[in-house]
Amino acid sequence: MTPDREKFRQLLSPFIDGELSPSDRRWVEAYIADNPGAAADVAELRSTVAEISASFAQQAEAVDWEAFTESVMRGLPSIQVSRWERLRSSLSQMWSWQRGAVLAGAVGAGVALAVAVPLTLNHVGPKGYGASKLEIQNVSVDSPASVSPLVTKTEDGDAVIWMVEDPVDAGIPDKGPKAFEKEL
Amino acid sequence: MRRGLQALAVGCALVATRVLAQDGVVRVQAVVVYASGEEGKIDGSLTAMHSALSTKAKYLTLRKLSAQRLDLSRKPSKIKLAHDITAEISLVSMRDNVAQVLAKVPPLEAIYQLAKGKSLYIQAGKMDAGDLWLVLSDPRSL
Repeated sequence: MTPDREKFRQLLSPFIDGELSPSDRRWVEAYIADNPGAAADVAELRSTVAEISASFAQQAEAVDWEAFTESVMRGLPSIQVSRWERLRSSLSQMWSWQRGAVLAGAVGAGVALAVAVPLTLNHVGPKGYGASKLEIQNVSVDSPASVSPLVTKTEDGDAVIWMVEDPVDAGIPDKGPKAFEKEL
Repeated sequence: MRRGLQALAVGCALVATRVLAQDGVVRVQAVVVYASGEEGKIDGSLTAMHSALSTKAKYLTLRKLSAQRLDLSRKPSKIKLAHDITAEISLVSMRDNVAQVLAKVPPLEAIYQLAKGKSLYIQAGKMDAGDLWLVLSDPRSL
C-alpha cells in the first residue's frame, strides 16, 4: 500500500463525518479525483454508516424509555436524607451558583440588624432614664458657703439650680443662710 | 461560605454586644458652659439652655468649654471645671429604671432623678466677667 493510500484510509472516516480540516478535505477530494477506486470506497463507507445509523434509530425507538427510567430509579438504593442535610445541600448549591446574591443578602441582613437593634433599644430608652419628669430630691450647700441654691423649672421640664448670694434680693423667701430648697 | 457567614455572625454579635454594653450603664452628658451678659455669641447647641435661663438671666454669650459623656457608678466621676473647682457626679440608686444621681459642685450638692430628654443646669460659680454652668443631660437627647 502506498503512503497516499494509507493516508486516504486514515482520513476516509473523518472525511465522511465532515470532521476534516479544510486542507485535509482538499487533499482527500484531490485523491478521489485522481483515483476512481477511492470514490467507490467513499460510497461504500457512506452506505455502511447510513445502515448502521438506521439500525440504531430503530433499536432506540423500540426501547421503552419510561420503563427504563423507572427501572433505573427502582435500582437506586433508598437513602433517607435529613432535613438539615437537604438544607445544607441547598445552601451549598446556592453558594456555588448564586454567590453574589447570597453575599449581598447576607450583608444587607447584617446592616439591617446593626441598624435595627440600636434603633429598637433607643426606642426603649437609655438605662436610668425611665422617668418622664426630672425631679430634684435634695439640694444643699456646705455650711461655710455664702450662697444659697434656688431651683427653678422650665416649661420644657428641665431644671435649673441657681446660686444666689442673697435669696431675699433674688425674690426668694429667706429659709436660712446656708441651705435653701424649693419644691418644684 | 462558612467563613463569610462566620464573619457576618461575629460582626453582628460585636455590634449587638456593643449596643447592649452601652445600654447597661447609666450615662449622662456633662457640658461645662461659660455664660456672660456681655455681647457675644450664643453657641448653636446651647439655644435650649439660653431659653431655659432666660427667665432669670439675660446672657448674651454662651460658650461651650468642654463636653464629655460619663458612665455613672457609685464611684464619683470627676469633671474639671474651668476654674479650680472640680465637680463630681455619681449614681446614688436605681429603681424601676429611674436613676438617682448625686451632683457635687462645691459648695453645692444636689440629688436628682434623671428623666428622658431632660437637662439639669447647675450654676457652678463665677469665671472672669461671667458665670460658669454645668449642664447634665440625657446623652441621647443631644
